[in-house]
Amino acid sequence: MKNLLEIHDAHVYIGSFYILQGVSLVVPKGEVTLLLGRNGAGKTTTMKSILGIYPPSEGKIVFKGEEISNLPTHKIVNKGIGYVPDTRRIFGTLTVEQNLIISRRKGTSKDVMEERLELVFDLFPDMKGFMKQRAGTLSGGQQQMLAVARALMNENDLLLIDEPTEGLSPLLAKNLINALDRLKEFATILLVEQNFRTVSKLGDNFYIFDNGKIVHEGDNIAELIADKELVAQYLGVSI
Amino acid sequence: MNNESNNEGNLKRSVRGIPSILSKNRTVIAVVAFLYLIPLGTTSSFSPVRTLLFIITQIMIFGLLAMSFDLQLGRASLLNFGHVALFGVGAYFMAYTLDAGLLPPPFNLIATIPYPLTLVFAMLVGGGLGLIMGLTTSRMRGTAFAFIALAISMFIFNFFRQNPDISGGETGLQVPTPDIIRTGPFYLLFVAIAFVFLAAFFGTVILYIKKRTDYAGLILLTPVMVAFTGVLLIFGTNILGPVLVFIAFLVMILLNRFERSKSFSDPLRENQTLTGEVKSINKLTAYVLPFIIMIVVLVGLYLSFATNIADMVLLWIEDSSLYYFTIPVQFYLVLTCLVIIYAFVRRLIASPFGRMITAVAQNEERAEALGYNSYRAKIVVLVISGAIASLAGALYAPFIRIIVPDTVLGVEVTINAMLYTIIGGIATLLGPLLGTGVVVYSELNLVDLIEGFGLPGRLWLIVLGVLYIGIVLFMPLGIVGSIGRRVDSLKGSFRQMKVRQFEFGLKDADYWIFGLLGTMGLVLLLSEDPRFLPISYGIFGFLGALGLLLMLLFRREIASRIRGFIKKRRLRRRKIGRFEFGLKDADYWIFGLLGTMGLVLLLSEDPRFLPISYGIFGFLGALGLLLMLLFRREIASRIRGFIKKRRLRRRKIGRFEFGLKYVDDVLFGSLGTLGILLLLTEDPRFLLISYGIFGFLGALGLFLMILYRMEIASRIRRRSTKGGD
Amino acid sequence: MTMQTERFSSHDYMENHPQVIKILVWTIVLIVIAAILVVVGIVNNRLDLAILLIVAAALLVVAAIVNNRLVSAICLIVIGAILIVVAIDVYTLEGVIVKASKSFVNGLALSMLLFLMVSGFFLIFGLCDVINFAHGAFFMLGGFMGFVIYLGTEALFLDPNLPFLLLFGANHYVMSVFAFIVSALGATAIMALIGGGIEFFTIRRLYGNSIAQILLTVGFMFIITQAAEIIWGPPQFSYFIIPGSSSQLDTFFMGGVLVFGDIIFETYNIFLIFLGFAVGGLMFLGFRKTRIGLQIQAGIEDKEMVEALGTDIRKLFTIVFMLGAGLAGLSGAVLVPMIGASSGHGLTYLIYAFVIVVVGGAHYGRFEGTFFGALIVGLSIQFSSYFIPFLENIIVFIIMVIILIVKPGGLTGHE
Repeated sequence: MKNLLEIHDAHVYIGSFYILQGVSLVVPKGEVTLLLGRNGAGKTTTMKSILGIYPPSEGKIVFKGEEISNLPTHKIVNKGIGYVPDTRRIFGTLTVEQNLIISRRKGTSKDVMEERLELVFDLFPDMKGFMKQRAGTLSGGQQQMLAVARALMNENDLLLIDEPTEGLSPLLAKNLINALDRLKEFATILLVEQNFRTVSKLGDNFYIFDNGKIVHEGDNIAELIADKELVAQYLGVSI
Repeated sequence: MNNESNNEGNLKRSVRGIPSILSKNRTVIAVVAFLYLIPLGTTSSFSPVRTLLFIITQIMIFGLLAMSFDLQLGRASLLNFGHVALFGVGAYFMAYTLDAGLLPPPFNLIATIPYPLTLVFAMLVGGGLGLIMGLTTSRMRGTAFAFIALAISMFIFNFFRQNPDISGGETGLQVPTPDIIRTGPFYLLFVAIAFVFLAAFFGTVILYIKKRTDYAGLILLTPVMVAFTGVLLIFGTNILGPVLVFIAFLVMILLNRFERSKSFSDPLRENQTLTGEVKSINKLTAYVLPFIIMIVVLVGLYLSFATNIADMVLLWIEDSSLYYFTIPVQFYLVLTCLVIIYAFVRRLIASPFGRMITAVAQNEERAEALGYNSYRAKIVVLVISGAIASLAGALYAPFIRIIVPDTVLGVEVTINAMLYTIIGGIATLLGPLLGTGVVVYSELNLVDLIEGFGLPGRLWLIVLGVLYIGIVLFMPLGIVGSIGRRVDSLKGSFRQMKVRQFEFGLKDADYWIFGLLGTMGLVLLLSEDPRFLPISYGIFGFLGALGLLLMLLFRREIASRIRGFIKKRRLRRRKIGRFEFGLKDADYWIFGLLGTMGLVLLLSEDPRFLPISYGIFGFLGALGLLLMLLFRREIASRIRGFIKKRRLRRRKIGRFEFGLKYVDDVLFGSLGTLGILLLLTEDPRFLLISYGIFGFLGALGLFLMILYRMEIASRIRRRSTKGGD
Repeated sequence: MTMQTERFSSHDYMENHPQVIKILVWTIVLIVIAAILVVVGIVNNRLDLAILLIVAAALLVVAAIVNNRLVSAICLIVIGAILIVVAIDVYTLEGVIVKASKSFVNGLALSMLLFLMVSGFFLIFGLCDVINFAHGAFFMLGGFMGFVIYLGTEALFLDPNLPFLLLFGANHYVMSVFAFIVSALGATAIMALIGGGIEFFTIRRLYGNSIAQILLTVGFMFIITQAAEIIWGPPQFSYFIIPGSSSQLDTFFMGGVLVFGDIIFETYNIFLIFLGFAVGGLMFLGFRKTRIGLQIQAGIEDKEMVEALGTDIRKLFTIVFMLGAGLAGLSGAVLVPMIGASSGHGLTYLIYAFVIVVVGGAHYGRFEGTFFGALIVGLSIQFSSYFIPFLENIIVFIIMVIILIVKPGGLTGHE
């Protein structure tokens, strides 16, 4: 089984808005897949429909060979998916430690969590210092670390990471990308990122979204960076 | 000069506009005209109509309240849990304006305002309170508005309860009847309005008959004719009146025949039918005849009720303070207010502002992004609905004559308005009114029934609560909304289909008949006057027979549909969880058993079993109704097929052509009606004639049966073999 | 033709002149305080004191607004003097201390139990977005359940045919304690089951349609209230546990009074304060330490994210409903000896719940807000019933309006 996740022709409506208009993609096991595109192109909606928050009205989503399109969110997640949302969405009234405690799922043993906590401290050494602090009082970078750490508390096969570097300073962003690079060995990653050049070292597979459809896909990101016309047309970056 | 001709043109245009107004509002006009007719039947002596009037007035007042509640909940998504405050201030304001002794000196000046004006002032007061409630919505978004509104109403309630000097405390405040209500001219004014509405009603009937030139329209019209004449016969004091009205009905049908035979050859006319507009070139049939018919009708109506009206005026001259003089006048007053408010709200909802409210209610943020000011829209809705609720209160106070804080300011009133609205149908115009009627009617009857068993009558309220929860869960649109949504698709399916020139399908224009018949049946049933029972049984019998016929015709479709439905349901259920519900083949014995049990219990005539058998039949009936709604398409196509077959077979029989044609049906209809009417008069002299008529009809029927025995037999055989497989 | 440059807008004006708002707000507060004081003065026939206090409040406002230090200092000195005069006067005033201490203890007891009830309401509102109109009815039914179970348990003990008689012998005191515990726990369990059942079978179908959910809970309130009125009579009837009368035992374990000189407290009310603190503390601990407690807290903040972390949010909703209804049942049951059981309590306490939640901060508010809201409402009800009886039923609304004017989002919430 080469592909960990497959989406076949998914159509998603939110209310009366037709957001995803037939999206098909595959996420190969053990690699990093990038979703690129402008704001509102449907990248985040794709993630949320994988999670079952916006289940597709047509088409199907297959994870580890099982169809998960119509399962409730918590069952999908329990099959081994970690989620790092785009606006962090950490629980501000809880402490960092409590945030991590409730991220551990029922199926995960406490030993695994201890192990993972070590990993997190290894990735983000700063975190040890603010474990007892209320998450709402953290800075943006610290919150992003927490959001990533939260997805690591379980043994996930797939990590959905949405705009991790958004709003971070270049230095922090670089640190985070380095951390993600190390995470490749633990899980397959599906990454949404506007700033594709900074993440180009993570992986080669990419999909470009526009208006709820996939308009381009490829397995060599260097070619994309070279193709200025394509970049200007769909990613809104002119050089 | 130019101006004058302009005025004339305007006048002409507005007169020409009347028919289209009439035909657009058939149901409303028919029902309102009927309601205006009822008080004419009251005389100075005791009459059960008074009790009826009292109940309907109460229904209309609370209907107004429910309507204003629905304006907030249904249109603007504002759940106002303090709605009763708006009602209560109206009631207390009215009480203070009617009796100067209720308030301390500086404030009792409001008692100098003359009565009908005080209604307007009460509306202003209610609107003001609505404004205050609206201002708080800026503080609390969404559902939390219910908090604040409830707190405001509780504040007012507690304030009134703890100051017995101005609220009357637990014994309540005596509210005098306004003087003007006790005057004869005021009554006569309403009588005049009543005649205008009745004339409008007959106008719609004429327009309807002119438009509905086929067979089906007359079948539908016959019960209206019979029922209306029957009501006149019983309400009125002079037999000549109903006879005249009945003749007028017949003349209308003749008029239709006349026009139809003339225009069949005209190809243009065919076109016009499709657009729904009928314009005859002939001045005689277009203007003169309808006018004459109207005159005849009005004379007939006047003849029926002249004695009653004269009685009421005499009563005013003798002693106007009598309680039963005021009841019809109050009924008229409330009815008139209701009609005005109804027309106003209808316009409001159709206006751009109404659409804006709906937009705001659906998605506040998006509406604001589009440039609507949601805050202001909500405030306007609250002011308008506050004014309406306050009007309801102002009408209620002199009507009920004693007001207590608990009955006009207690939270129970809000909850009742909520029940009426939800059960009737949220965001529908007629829903709240209908809901009020249904709940009040069932309450009146069920409480007696329940107490008959030695159980506390309040048990009914629990039943009501369960019903309410069921509606919120499974029928979120309420009675009117759920049916209305289906009626739309039904209408659509009928419009698409065409069977030669012979159209039978119910058109938009036909539904008023059902509305009127339903209302008449309900009201007459409500009156509990034994004389009306035959009519209302007849009406319900007609509607029921129609339903039964349809069910018999479509039993196959029903069965397959049920199967399909169950399959679907089961699939859906299965997805939800382990919880399986669907009916299986093995389940049908339950229905058989239930039906038999119900019948046996009914036949036993033991009053203790009645509720059980009612319950069983109610369940089965509800199931049947549900099925009918589900299979409306099949029913329509079947009816069409059935009619076609009938006609073909008639033609085929041979040289012996007997087939009943169009004209004959009218004859039978009128004969039957006449027979029933004569039977109803209970005059032994007429009995012989009516026996004769029925004898003739019966013999004819027998003759036909003998004539067509072959066909009948083969039909039956076919049916039974079909049923076998 | 002159162009109209700009229309006067009070809103813009206010924004440009913040001190005007400050003065306006303070004036309104002052007027309200003055009105209350005058009312208190009239009721107690001490208008002079009321006027002195108004002067003091006015000076306080002046001191707060004015930037001049000297003026502020003088104002504060005068305030101090006035307060001393008033204090001396009040101390010698017959019964004021007694009244104040009684209303303080009773108010505290009521507050603690209101807090228990309202925290259930608040949890349901916060996590499930359902305004539970049936909450007052749960509370009322909990009271009746407690009453019935108490009487049933003692009847069980006193029945000579059953072996329970041997358990405590004729020790009515122990029986009473045991019956009380059973009644409190029983009412909690029954109401939790009812609440969970209502959520599981009906409200669950309507998530996402908040108006329909409210309408549904109104239906349940209606049904429960009507049923209670059929069984136990209209709101005019109140049921108390009275030893020797309604109760067969000759004692109630926390009956009687505590006497401190002139001041007499009912023992049960003091017991309630401790009980309320104990249960409230347990609850706080539960929310801090247990996984489910943390999940509920997180869910109040962001439901979707909790679900995306692998928690079955529906199960959480049911649990919260059970918890909320159970807390309502518990507080209803233990309040029976203080306020009795009556079918009218449903509506009354529902409204208190509303006021407390609004005062404490309905949107994104915190538990602490609910706690202070309950404290304010409970104390003000009891104080006004002793000092300004005719305001007893209205005072909470007045307080709510004042707090909403000063802090639109409530004490801890934000809008």
